[in-house]
Amino acid sequence: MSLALLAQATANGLSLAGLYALVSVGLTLVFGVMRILNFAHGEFVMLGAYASFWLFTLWGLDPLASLAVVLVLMTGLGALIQTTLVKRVLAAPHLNQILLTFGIAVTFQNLALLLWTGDLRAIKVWYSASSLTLGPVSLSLGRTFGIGLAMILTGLLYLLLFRTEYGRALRAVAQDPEAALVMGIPIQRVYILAMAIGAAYAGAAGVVASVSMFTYPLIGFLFGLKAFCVVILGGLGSVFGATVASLILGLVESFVGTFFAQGSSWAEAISFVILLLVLLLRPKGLFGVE
Amino acid sequence: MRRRVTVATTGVAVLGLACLGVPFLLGNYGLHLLVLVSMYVALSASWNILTLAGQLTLGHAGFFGVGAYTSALLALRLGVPFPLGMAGGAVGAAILAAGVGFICLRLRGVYLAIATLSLVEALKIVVLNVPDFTEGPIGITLSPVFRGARLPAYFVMLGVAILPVLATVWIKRSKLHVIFGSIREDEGAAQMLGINTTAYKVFAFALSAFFAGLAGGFYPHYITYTVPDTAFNIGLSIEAQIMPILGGLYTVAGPVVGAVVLTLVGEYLRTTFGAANLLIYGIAMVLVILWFPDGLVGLGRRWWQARVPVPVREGVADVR
Repeated sequence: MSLALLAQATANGLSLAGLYALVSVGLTLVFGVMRILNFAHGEFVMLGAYASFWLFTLWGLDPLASLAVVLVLMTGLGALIQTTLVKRVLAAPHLNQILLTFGIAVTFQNLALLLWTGDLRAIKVWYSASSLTLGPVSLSLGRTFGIGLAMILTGLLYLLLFRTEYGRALRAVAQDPEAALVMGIPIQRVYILAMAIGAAYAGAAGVVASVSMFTYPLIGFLFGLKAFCVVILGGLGSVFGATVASLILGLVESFVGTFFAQGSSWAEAISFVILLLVLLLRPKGLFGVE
Repeated sequence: MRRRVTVATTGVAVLGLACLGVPFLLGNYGLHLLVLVSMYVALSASWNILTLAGQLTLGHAGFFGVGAYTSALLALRLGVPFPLGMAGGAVGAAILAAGVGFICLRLRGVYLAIATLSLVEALKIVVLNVPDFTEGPIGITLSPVFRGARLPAYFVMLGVAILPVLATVWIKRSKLHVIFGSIREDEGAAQMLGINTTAYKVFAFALSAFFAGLAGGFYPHYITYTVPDTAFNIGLSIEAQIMPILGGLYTVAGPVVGAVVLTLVGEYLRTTFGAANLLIYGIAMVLVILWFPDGLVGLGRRWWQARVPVPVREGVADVR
C-alpha cells in the first residue's frame, strides 16, 4: 500500500462522500422534522440527473448552469409532493407512510424507464476529460466540482439551520411539533420547507452524478439505499450525523475498492454490512437521539 | 351472517372448481398465466402474513430468491429432484427469515423496512460475487420439470399458492389472530400482557418466508433457469406488496384478489404497452393508500353491505 495510492483513494472517497452527503442530509432532515422516512427520496437524485442530462443534450446547457434550474425545479417538486401526497399521511400509521412514499418511488422509477429507456446516459462536457492533479493525486474536474458543491451546499444548510429563523423553526418542529405549533410556528409550511430542501439537495446530487457517472432510471434507487445506510449510521434525524456518516461510507467504500482483490464489486456491499451492524449494535446510530 | 357464510362458501367452491377444471381447457399460454397467477398468490399471501403480525417488509424478493437459489443449487450440485429442492428452498428461506426477524427484533417501522429492502440487494451482491458456487451473473440452467408439460406444473404451483392462503385462514381462526393483531396495534402493550412478541415475530417471519421460498423453489424448475437479477428482483418485492394492498390488507381474500387482478392486468399492459406494468403498480399503490386503504375486498364488502344489510351478531366482537 503506497502513500500515493492512499491519497488517491482518499480523494475518490471524498468525492463519493460529497454525493452521499448531498443525498442524505435532506433525507435525514425530512425524517427529523416529519418523522417520515421518504422512500422516494432517491428518485429526486434520478430526476435531477435526468434534468441535467436533457438540459445539456437538448439545449447544450452546462451542468453547472443547469444546477440552478434543477434546484428550482426540485424545490417545486418537493413542495408539490409534500402538499398533495405526503401531507395526507402525516397522521396515518407507519405502514401507510412507508407504502405511500415507496409507491411514489416506484412510479417515478418506472416513469423514467418508460420515457427515457434503461440506457446508461453520459454527458460529455469540456471538463469531462480534464482533471485536477495535485502531486500523485488526480481527480476529474467533474468530481472536484462535486466535492466543492457538496461542501458549499452542506455549509449553507448549516447556516440556514443554525443562523436563521427558518432554521430555528425547522429545529423546533423536529424537537417537538406540538410545542412548536403552540409557539405559533406554521408547522405545515415547515414540513414543505423541509421536503423542498431535501428534494433540491438530492437534485443537486443528481446533477453531480450526471457529470461524474452515468444517468439511468435505477440510479435513484441505488443512491436511496446508500442514503438509508448513511442516515441510519449517522442517526435518523441528525444532519450532522448524516454528514459524518457520508464521509465514513464514502471513504470506506473507496478504500475497500482500492485495496482489496475484487474490491470494487464488494465495495457495493459495504453499505449493507454497515447498515446491518448498526441495526444490530446501535439502532439509534452514531448521533441519534431516539 | 348465515347468508354471508353461504355466499363465501359458494364463492370458494366455484373458485375451487374453476382452479381445477379450467386449466384443462387452456392452451400453453393460458396455463403459463395461471402458473404466474398462482406464484403471485403465494407471494402476496405470504407477504400479507408478515403484515398481519405488524411487520412491514419491503424485501419479499429476498426470500423468493433464496428459495430459488437453494433449490437450483441443490439440483445443480447434488442432483436433488425438484420436490426436495423446493422443500430445501422453503426451509432455507425460513431460516434466513428467522435470522432476519431475530436481528430486527428491536426494529420497528422504518428500520425494518430499510433492513429488508437492503437485504435483497445485499443477497444479490453476494450471489453475484461468489461465481464459483452460484455461477454468478450467468445464472443456473435447469432441465425442464415434467419434460416441459404445463398442466402438472400448474397443479404444483396451485398447491404452493393454496398453502399460504390456508395458513392465513388458520391464523385468522386461531388465537394467533388476536396475538398478531395486538403486536400490530401496540407491541409494547402486547409485551406487557405477557405475549412473547419475539417468538411470534420470528414465527411470522419464518412462516411467511417458508411459503415465499417454496414458490421460489419451484419457479426456476418451471422456467428452467435462474439468474440473480430475476431471483432478487425489486419488482417482485413491489408486486408482493401492491397485490395485498390493492386486494385488501389483513384479509384472506385480499392477496388472492389482488394477485389475480394485477397479474392479469399487468400481463395485458406488458403485452400491449411494453414495460408499463410496474408504473401502474406504483400509481395504484399511491392511490389505494390515499383513497381506499381497505382495498378491493373492502370496497366489495361495503357495496354488498349497502345492498344487503347484515344484522350484527350479538356477543361477538367485530374482528377485521
